[in-house]
Amino acid sequence: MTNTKALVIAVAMSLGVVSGAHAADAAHGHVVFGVWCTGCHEPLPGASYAPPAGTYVLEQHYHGRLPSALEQRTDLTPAQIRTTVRNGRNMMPQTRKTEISDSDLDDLIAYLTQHNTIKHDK
Amino acid sequence: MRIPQGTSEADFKAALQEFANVVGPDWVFTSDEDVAAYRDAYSPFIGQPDKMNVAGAAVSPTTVEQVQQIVRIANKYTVPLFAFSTGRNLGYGGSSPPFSGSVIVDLKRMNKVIEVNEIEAYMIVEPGLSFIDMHRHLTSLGSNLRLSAPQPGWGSPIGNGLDHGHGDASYNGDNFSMVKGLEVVLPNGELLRTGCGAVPGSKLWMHYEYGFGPYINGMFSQSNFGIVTKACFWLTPNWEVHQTFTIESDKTDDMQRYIDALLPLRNEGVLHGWGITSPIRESGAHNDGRRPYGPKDVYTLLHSPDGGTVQQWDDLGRSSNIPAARGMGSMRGAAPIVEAQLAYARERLKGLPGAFKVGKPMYGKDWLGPRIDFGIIAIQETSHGHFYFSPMYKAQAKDIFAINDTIRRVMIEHNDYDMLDNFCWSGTRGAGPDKYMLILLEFLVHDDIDLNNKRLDLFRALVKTCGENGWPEYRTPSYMQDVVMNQYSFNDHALRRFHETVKDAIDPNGILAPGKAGIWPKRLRKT
Repeated sequence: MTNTKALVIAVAMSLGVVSGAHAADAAHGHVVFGVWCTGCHEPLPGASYAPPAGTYVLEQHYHGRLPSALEQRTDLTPAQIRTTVRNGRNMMPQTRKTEISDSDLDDLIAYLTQHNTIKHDK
Repeated sequence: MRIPQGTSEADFKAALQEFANVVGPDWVFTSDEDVAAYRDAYSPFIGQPDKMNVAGAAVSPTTVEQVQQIVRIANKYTVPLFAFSTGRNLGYGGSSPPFSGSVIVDLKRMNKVIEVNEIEAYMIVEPGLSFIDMHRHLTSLGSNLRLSAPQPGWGSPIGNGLDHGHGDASYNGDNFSMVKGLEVVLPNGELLRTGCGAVPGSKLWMHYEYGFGPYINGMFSQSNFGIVTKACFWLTPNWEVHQTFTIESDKTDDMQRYIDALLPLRNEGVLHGWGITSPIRESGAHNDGRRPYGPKDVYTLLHSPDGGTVQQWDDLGRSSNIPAARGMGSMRGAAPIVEAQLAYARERLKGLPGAFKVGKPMYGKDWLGPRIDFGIIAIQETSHGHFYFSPMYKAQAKDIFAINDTIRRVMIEHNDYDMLDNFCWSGTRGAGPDKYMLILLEFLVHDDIDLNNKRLDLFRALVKTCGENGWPEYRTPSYMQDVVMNQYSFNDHALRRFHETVKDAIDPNGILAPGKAGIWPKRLRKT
């Protein structure tokens, strides 16, 4: 494991879910992504013995029209991310507030939309 | 808001207010949107809300004392509770309660690692901690210990162990066998520690699970007798290398010969895991998303009245160059020991027909740890998940063929050839149980309500027929608990009646997880 990864994990382990108004923090969103999303949405080819499920499904869905790895997307909208995280989609289950708090979700959205060419409201 | 049967709306709301006083209003969930997050993500009742088990509300404590207070409040107002560790038991009901209107006790925020002991190889943890969290914690410590993790790894060691889940490192894959001492909030709110944990100042809680007197850890697994708030687990040291081998034949009749040779090696501890299958019979299966690699004639034989004779299958295997019987073994540990075990196994299998093939060794450092892999199942992108049919059977060729043929016949009786083609045939493979084996058959959930209902009927028929043949389920979704408990019917359901006697004694108000494992409290029991 790299030192960077170890640091990210150490930070993740020390963070509980929190609530309350705050400025969205894309760096913390990266940590949230690492804890909750990477397992299914890391880029292909993943390091795992099986393809990461979410990336694999999106690749089949888009056939190259859009990147299959979520971190490479520049078109995801906050509403789209929020709805998918909270409600799930097909095999992807919903995620509860005890798992990803509202403020963590804001940070995750900030992370996944930070390179968007078109900015959307939340 | 769904009010549970047997509880008045006024009492339900009063209880929610008192829960909020305990955990804070942010951690009591009552809105439709928040409560919907506690549904079974993989429910086959999608599109049929009246049939779906749903929560009434949810409360999320962070301490044992809060759990005790919640239980006492629930008793005061007769409000049913359903506790889960991480609620990721997908395919077996997930976070949904067996009794609609129950208040979920979401233990996800109780996620502390209490202790890790590297030399004595144990950990004490809380229920909300996931396999992934724990793996990362061990990694951050530079530990050489390994969890026995299932995939996906977002579940909880406590939740998985208590539900008799399987992992990749425990003996027999049986994770509950790694659970030693438990800390439990009883249905009256009292706190109990099992085994040596009952000795004040005990130093042996995590070492000797029996303590003195009746051994009761099992009463808190797949049950509704308490809420487990801490557990001591034994951990496994990382192994240097994992080595596999196979032996294959073009004759079905060699399968029992392989079993007769491999099982003693397993019993002697030479093999860590073993398996047996018929690759030609499995070759058409695509229920798990695999594209069938077998010949089309697989389906012709499967659909025939007798399911194909041994000679027909052996001929098909030969013409397709796919074995009719395959035995598998694995060993793990220090490289010199594994090398010696492999040589010993090769020698013991010397007289058997077929080719002995040694697999590529996998070194411990290559293990990626628990992940959220769904693997190739993800190909089924139009599905809404799945639920599992999971019967146990004897690891003997006669039983393996008998259960496979029984499943085939029930599917044909239900005119469900799609499901038969998906399933095809199942042996077993890899590390796991020895004297018994498991079929894990996924029933995919679709948008088509009629198809889902048809599959549920098939599921019930399979449970009934397999039960009558002595092949019971080892675990089941929340909505099938009664159906499966009915398999265990010896002496007019003496086991269930015993459970009910215990339930009535320790939970007279019937507030903890009514219906879990088919155990209903007196106030809700159907006569």
